[in-house]
Amino acid sequence: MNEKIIDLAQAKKSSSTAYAGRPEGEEARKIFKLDSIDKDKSIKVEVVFPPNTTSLNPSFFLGLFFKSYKRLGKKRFNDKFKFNLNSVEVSIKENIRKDISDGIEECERTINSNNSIRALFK
Amino acid sequence: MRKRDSNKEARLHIKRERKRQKRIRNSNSLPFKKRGYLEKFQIKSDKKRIESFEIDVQSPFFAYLKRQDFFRKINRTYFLAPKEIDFFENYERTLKFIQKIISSKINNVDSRVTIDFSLCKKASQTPLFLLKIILDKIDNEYERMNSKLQVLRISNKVEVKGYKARNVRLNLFLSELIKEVDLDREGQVPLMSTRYIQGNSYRKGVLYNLKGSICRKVVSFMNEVLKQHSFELSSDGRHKLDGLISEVLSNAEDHGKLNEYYVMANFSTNRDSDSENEIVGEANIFIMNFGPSIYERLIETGDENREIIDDLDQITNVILKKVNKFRTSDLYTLYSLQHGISRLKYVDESRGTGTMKFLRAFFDLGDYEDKGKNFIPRISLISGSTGIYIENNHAPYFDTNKNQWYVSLNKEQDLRMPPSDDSLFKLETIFPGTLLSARIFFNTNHMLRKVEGGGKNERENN
Repeated sequence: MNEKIIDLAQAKKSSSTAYAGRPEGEEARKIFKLDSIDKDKSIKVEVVFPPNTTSLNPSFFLGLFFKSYKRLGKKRFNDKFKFNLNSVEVSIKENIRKDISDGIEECERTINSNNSIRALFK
Repeated sequence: MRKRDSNKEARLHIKRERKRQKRIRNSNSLPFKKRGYLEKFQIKSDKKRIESFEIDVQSPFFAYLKRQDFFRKINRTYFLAPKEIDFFENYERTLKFIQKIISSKINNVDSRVTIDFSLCKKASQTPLFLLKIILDKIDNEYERMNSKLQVLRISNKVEVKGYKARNVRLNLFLSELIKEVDLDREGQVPLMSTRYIQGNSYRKGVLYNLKGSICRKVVSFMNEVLKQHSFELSSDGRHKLDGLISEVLSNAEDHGKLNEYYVMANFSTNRDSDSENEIVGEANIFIMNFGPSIYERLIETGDENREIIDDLDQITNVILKKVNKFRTSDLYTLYSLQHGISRLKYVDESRGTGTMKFLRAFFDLGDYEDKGKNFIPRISLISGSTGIYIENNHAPYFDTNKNQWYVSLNKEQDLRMPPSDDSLFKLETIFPGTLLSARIFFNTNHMLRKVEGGGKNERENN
């Protein structure tokens, strides 16, 4: 089993502390070559958050992980990607954990109902 | 040792002297008579340049305004501001007033434009922010011209005078249209401002994007705001605000076509309360991008984005069968705020999450209001020919059956019912872009109650 570390510090300017924006997430996806990582079942990924992280927005999360989530499904996604928050400030850890679960929820919601207006007519 | 060649040295000396004379002739240290002649020549050439000077309509910014028919044929340079400069109460007159000033400044390169505020009783920050952005853009053009001039300089700053009403003085100052202000201690007093920041969405790569730095600036600013009320952003608060601001900047980057966006935040507070805890602080955040409206951008990708357009058409038809006071463009703009609606949905089905996150975070933070004192938190969105105003009574709600968040702008909290025409309305004169402004009030007592209530806001407690 191969283990790969993704350092999210590479996906933002050093002066910024928030991860936001779809294009930024998509660009990070390319930097970390997630498309090919998804295809290789033997690779497990550890996603490391840098110490000064203050938030992870759904737009960034979806840009970075939605394709993987859709391709792998919830269980295989959770097996493949582990989020390492050890360096994150203790007081903010819970928030980032919540951001990750919100991001996963958004992936799920998108796959199930696509948009809130269509949901009204179901 | 070599013998010195005195002839050679003499020749070199003569040569150097000739060169020196030539340098002098070509330099400014000409004999007075000649210098005067040169200056006259330069002034004449500068004047010619100034006469033929036009704002560079090739630049995407001015070209867009011109296409939108934003400029008026106007030669006068003196303007009396209307009684009320406010997009909410007096949109048409306010925008036309701004158009006239901008047009006058462009048409009268060598005369000073004067705005007289002596009759103006109310001037809100949002239109003043728009005015300031465009005036600065024109000043940049003048600077570009100045760099080409040899003697003359164009200095065509707008003169702002006659501002008597207190809120007019305050907001002119906060919008940086006047440099200093004299205010008594009654009412709101400006405390701080981020000043006006220009961001861009050039996609050179994640490491070059300015959004993170701008976001950090605004969040630090808000933290300073809270310190004025003896509070400080907790990690949780910083996290929420970070999410809110960065999401809204992402939207500005995503939706603008001209690559630039403008941000300003400021804070003022009233000092008229006897008790420190009753002091109310007012924070304003403005984000503006020029270019096609939200509706136009949605339609642009309509062929590829067929599924979303079909969904929007379906709900639009439901409303238009019930009432005829809205246009499709107004309803589309409202629906664009809903979760999962994006003009780029066809590129990536997971798009359309940002706006709702922003709205929820805003109403979570800004739930303090006192209608009697006009402390009413509000999000205003003006885009193309549609205006949307969201106050606490129309904050986003969660539909447990559908497992989705919505903002419906009606008391029924049902998107399939018509929105209130106080909150969604059509604008006759097209706005040249999208402007989002958010106004939040802070009150120490209210924040203490929130902290004691476990961070829940009043809507949740009720």
